[in-house]
Amino acid sequence: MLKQVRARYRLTLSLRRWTKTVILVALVLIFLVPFFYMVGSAFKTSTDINSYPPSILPTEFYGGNFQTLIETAPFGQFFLNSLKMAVISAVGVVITSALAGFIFAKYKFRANKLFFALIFATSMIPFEMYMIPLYIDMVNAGLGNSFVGIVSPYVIMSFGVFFMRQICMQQIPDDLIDAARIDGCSEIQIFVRIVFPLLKSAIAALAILAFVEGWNAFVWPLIMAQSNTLFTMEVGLALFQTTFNVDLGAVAAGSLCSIAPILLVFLLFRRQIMESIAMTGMKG
Amino acid sequence: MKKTTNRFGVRGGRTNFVPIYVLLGVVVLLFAVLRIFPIFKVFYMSLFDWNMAKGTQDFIGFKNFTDMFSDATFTSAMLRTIYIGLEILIITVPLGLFIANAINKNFSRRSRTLVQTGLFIPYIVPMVPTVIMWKWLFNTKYGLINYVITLLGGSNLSWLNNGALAEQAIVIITVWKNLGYCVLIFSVGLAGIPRVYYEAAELDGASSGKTFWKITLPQLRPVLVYVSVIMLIRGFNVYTQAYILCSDASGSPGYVVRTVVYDMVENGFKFYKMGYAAAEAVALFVAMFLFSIVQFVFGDEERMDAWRSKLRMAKGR
Repeated sequence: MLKQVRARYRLTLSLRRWTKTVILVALVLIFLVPFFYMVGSAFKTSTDINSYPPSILPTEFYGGNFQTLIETAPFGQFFLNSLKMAVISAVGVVITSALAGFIFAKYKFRANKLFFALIFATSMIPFEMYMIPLYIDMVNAGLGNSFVGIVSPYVIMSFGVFFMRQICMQQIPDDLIDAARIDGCSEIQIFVRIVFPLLKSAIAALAILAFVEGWNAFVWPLIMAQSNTLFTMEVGLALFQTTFNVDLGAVAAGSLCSIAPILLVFLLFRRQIMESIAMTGMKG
Repeated sequence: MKKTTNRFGVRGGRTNFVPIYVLLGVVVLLFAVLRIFPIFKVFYMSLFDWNMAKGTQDFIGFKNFTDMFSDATFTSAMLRTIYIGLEILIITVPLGLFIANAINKNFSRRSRTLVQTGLFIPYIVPMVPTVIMWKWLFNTKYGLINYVITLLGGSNLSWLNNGALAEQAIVIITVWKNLGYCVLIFSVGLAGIPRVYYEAAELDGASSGKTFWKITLPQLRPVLVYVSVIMLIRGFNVYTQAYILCSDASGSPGYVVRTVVYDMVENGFKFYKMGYAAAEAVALFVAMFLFSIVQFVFGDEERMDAWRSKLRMAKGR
């Protein structure tokens, strides 16, 4: 008797848990409908896209949108530009942040607090605030409409310096540095050979974040790039979708190409990305 | 006795610190050139008639600002931006807090991660393709959203051509994109609240509503202020959404919903009125600053209250 009651109780419990999970998954899927719609549209024919009622899935699988995309505009080039930008951003941010973070954490000198405070304060100022003077400086430096000009604001990240300083304070013991010094390491050797390898996981997390930021950049490349050989995916897509007689299937295919790398990176490194953003709440 | 620290306070006096400080100097210089100087320069530039096309740079004092506030395009853009920003703020933050609180309390670890991850995907992906997708969902004739509205018995809305509706479309997209961020940060904040508080509340028989208002909210205050300020800054800087959403072959982009950043980019990079655009940036900055201060004051007042009550407890009531 008791056994039966207990079994029934367990059944209702698991049933309730299952319904809860199903409802939850359904809600999350509804939240993500725009993505499904985009993926579906990337494989729709043009008549299929403008059909009513709208459907998420294509009625027939059509792969020609990607071809149209590449034929109308040099999206292969745009993709490579975005990739170049994201990779250089990741490498640059990691080097500058690890170096500055390590020095701010472990060396005592008079301007330490002041420099760090100045760098940290810039993290609260949105980029849109100072992009006009920055643009003028770039043009005056002869870097207008150049890849160097587009990528250079993305090789530093104030959040990265803050993050690395925090990690160095927690994970690098002073005695280790002293021991290396006694063994005859120069300061740069200490950083390159000892500190940098020890920060591996934090550096990986920061590199991923910087990659995403570099890939997602829009306003700055939009105002800097005049020739379309310099366009990134974002700029190319934004301008492409405003052109007259635009092929919606091709735009969807382009959107998919722009989102897919970031989605892939996110699904591979979900934990690291969410943890590092949660740690101090990175700006967008 | 042997001196063990040099003047840098680092042990091992003979080491050469010059190279590493040179490297730090390079990084600091990058920050100076790419962040700090431009931030100061924007204030400086706002006082000039700085035209890149004509090559003029004349000091005109506050004329840009007086021009700006007598220009209906700017004032309406400013009011619209403040309105959009505040709307985004007052939807995203409570909704994010509600979801974070619900999944933190009732859900297993796995379903919590599922919700957090699902909501976080829109946050991490690039803005341009995201808004392009939404633009189709909002399409008057073929859009999924209008289809659902008609299924529910409503009539088609022209989301993208009607100014008020286009504003709402921007708000919806921005909320959708940032919700996952709020949920994540709030979840971390909630996990940091010591369990003993809730156990004590339960022992005293406090209702869940009361627990939320008396324990969760005060404990979460700093996180709440932080997220609110971030959301406000994002809301005030809406640009890409307006650029993509309100543009097509027939209409000039951003014409329906002109935000301050949009107006700024147009004045700066279409008409080369850099001084005027800088003045707009300064005005937007001042607006953000004022609204942020309001939030910090709210946050601090509460913290002071908590501090006062702690003091009272330490004194023995």
